[in-house]
Amino acid sequence: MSAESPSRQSEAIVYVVDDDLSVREGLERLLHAARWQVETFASAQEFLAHRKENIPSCLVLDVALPGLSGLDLQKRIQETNREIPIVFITGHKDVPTSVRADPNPRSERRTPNAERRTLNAER
Amino acid sequence: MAHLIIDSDPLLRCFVGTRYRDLEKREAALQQAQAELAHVSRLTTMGELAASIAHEVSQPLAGVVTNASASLGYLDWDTPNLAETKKATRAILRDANRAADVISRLRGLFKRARPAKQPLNVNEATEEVVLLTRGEGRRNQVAFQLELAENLPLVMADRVQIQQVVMNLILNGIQAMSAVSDRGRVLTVKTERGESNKILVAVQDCGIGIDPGGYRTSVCCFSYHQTQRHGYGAFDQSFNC
Repeated sequence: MSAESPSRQSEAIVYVVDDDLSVREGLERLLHAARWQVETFASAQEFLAHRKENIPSCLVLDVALPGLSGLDLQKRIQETNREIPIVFITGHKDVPTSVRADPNPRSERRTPNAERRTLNAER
Repeated sequence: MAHLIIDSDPLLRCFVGTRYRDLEKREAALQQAQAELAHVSRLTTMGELAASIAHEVSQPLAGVVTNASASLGYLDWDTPNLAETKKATRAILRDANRAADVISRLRGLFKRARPAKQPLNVNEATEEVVLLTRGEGRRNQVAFQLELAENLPLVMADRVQIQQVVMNLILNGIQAMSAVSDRGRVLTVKTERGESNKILVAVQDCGIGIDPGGYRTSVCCFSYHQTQRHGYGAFDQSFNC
């Protein structure tokens, strides 16, 4: 994204993990337009391999990733004792059940077409 | 013009286009193929794929919505970011076309047209099926790997029939891997030039073999061929090479 983006949250970063290019890029732009710093990843493995800065962050995570799934990734993150809130997104109507079963109270569910209004309201 | 023998070996399920010389054999094969295809088609209910296809359309639509929202966001900046707005608008075009593309391919795949042989690009036909089944793969955490040979000759074939067969092979492969948890679930779809005017479409999975409790439902429709080592559907093809 362009360097001229005036980030209101310069010390925070939003990670987006989704294997679908349309969704990934769309979310990246949506968050960037809302002046968040964003980094995107096409797979859970790619995210795990990335060296994360020690700054406040959250993770927007697709549940149904091929290979290591979103829920698998959540487990891996928990094993490292890293504190990172996760917003799960899914295009499958049947997946939220498995997320609901998850005990992590920080997890929320969103469909990918979350609106800008929502993003602004949650800050 | 075809007979379809599907392998019980989950490592390799494939079908081969080939030329028959014997007319009688050809007619017998045709009848067998029609019966089996009808069987396969019944088993592949639209319902089974509906969620995945809806997903294949809803993903680009999600892209349209988020990019449109982002555009509004960029225009709301104190100094409207026109460069980013332009990029977002281009992405909207791309994603909307992608959604329309899925729908038009779908229409072609499931139309009830009389079988018609036409020059067919096997790679294109295969890619379309992969596009429509990728969502089903995703839902089952299966990654697709495409290995399409270049410069394949066109074959004379009925697109819809070929695609329905490839689709069933792919769905079987996905199901065969449903119990795999110790390794990545990878489904490899290959096209290659075989010997003596054959084009091979191979669907390879890394399933767990015959596990009666594991994937019985995916192989039962072909169960009478389960003793075969490899599965081939032989299509009578004339090559225009």
